[in-house]
Amino acid sequence: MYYIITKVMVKAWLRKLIKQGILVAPTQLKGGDVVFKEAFTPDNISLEFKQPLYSVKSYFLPQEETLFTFRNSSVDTLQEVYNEFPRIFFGLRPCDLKAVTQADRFFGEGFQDSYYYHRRKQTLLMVIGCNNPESHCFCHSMGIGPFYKDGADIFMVDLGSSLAVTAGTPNGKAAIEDYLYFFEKATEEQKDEIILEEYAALSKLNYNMPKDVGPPDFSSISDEFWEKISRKCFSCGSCSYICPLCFCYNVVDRQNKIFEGKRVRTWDSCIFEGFTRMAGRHNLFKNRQDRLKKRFAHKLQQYPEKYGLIGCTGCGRCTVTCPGKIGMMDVIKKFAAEVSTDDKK
Amino acid sequence: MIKNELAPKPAEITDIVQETSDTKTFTLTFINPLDQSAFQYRPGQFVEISVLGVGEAPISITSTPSRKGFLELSIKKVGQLTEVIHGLTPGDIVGIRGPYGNGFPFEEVKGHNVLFVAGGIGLAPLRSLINYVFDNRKDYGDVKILYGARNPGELVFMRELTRWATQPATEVLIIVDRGDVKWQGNVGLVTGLIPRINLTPQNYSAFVCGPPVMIPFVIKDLLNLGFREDRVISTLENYMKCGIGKCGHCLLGGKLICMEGPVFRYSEMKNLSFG
Repeated sequence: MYYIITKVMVKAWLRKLIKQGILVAPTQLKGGDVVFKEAFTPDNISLEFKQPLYSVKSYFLPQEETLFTFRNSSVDTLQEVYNEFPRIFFGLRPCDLKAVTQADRFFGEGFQDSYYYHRRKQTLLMVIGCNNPESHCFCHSMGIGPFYKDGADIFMVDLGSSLAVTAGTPNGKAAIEDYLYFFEKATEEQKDEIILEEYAALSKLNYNMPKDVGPPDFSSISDEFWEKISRKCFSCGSCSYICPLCFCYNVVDRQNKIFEGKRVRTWDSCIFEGFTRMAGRHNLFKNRQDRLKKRFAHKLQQYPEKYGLIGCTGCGRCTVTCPGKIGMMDVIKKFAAEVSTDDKK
Repeated sequence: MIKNELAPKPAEITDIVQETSDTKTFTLTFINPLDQSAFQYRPGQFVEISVLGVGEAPISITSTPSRKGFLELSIKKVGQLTEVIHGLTPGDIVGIRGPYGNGFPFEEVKGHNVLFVAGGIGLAPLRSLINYVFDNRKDYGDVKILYGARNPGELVFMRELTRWATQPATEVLIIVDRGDVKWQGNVGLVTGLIPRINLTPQNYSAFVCGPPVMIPFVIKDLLNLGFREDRVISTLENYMKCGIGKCGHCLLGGKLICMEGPVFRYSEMKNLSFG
């Protein structure tokens, strides 16, 4: 069931919701970049809905996070540090949403990650459909699509001067129905408009990446192909840092001169040579080609085996950030091109 | 409320044995008796040992679960953390969390004869299982232990090796790559011991543990002898951080060594990207 709220009223609605938590919403920085930022008021957030530069990964797995503190290296003084602020995420993209629900699965299975759980348990996810996908977007070929909403508390569609809004969870329902005076019910024409917007978005995505160029079968990719790709890799790790589905982390202890210490975890990347370097300099993934291959094997082969989905949301951020132009989309396209020239031979 | 797996529990070092010039065996007891009783492990599992302010490392458990109330870890001085640990004395407190990993399939090999092949510090995780076998002697058949090290000074658990050799239906063979003036025993690689033991591979299970260079050669020889692929059981190593399948460092051929390993049968291992 879709409700309609005019864009003028969206900020008034958010001003009500903000009482329940910190608002995290796309905000335009001075230089023009749009990023997710914590905001105390919704005044400065962007309702233009460009894809933010980074996903919301850092709100669930911060780039650096203190696990616990201690004094004098003593285990008795160990104090766990939890960050438990409730947060309202406004304007998540479907690709970001998929990444969050996949993180729920990953951190919730086996030994559960209590830090992730504490952050995640008090969040409201307000997802906006992508009417106007960027030129690097290809979520449709990763099985998501521009209007994907599984797991969203609230899903919204931009209809120009207003937003169509629907609830996906009891929390989302409460966030709408408690403030029903902002909304009116969607008319039949508006419902049709939603479908048309989705159709238009899909055709833009098909232009970015034709439908028949799907994720390749990893086992059919030759080592020569990886060798060629890896020549362009700078080992900078930006693809993993920016990837909403890369959760690898490193753990280090820090201690100051007066013996106040903390154990922190930081983002890490399998593209770095030190990622698998053991004591005595043993390293199973010494050369760049092996590391690059491992990264893509994890996303294209092991993710599907384990979770039944590709380890990529098609957000295209790695394509934007990679200095060697070997982001996921480029690799898929290069491989497809290789296969078709092979066929012609 | 979810349990925080990443916070270590305090444990006291009660005893230290100098095994070789760079290896010590530490006996640890949890400060909190509840932590001690909750710590149930299998041979072949490992713990994460922390010295707060320095770091944390995965170390395999060398004591056997059949002897309760303490935990033994044999640690070789190879890096920053292990160097600090070597400087600790009895009474010092370290952080422990675990046990992690799958451990050896010791119930499954009940009734089998068992062959152990170890190299260097690789005897540490096997010692857990060997002592378990001796503590439950009637459940297992013949025991053969082949152990190799670089030189006589690097042989660990010598007292126990001698004790094991006196057990019934047990054979212990030791070899070193390079002898010294006093050494009267075998010289060569541990693979050189394999043809010298009398066994029918059909009713044997083999456990192999040692440095990465040793394992493939031993496995090859065992398979040539006629060991079944699923009865050659070994351990894999890769850099590990969290031990709980989250940090991603130990991913190898799609398997997280800390969760699905470190113990693998050869039949599983050969499908991973190396080995």
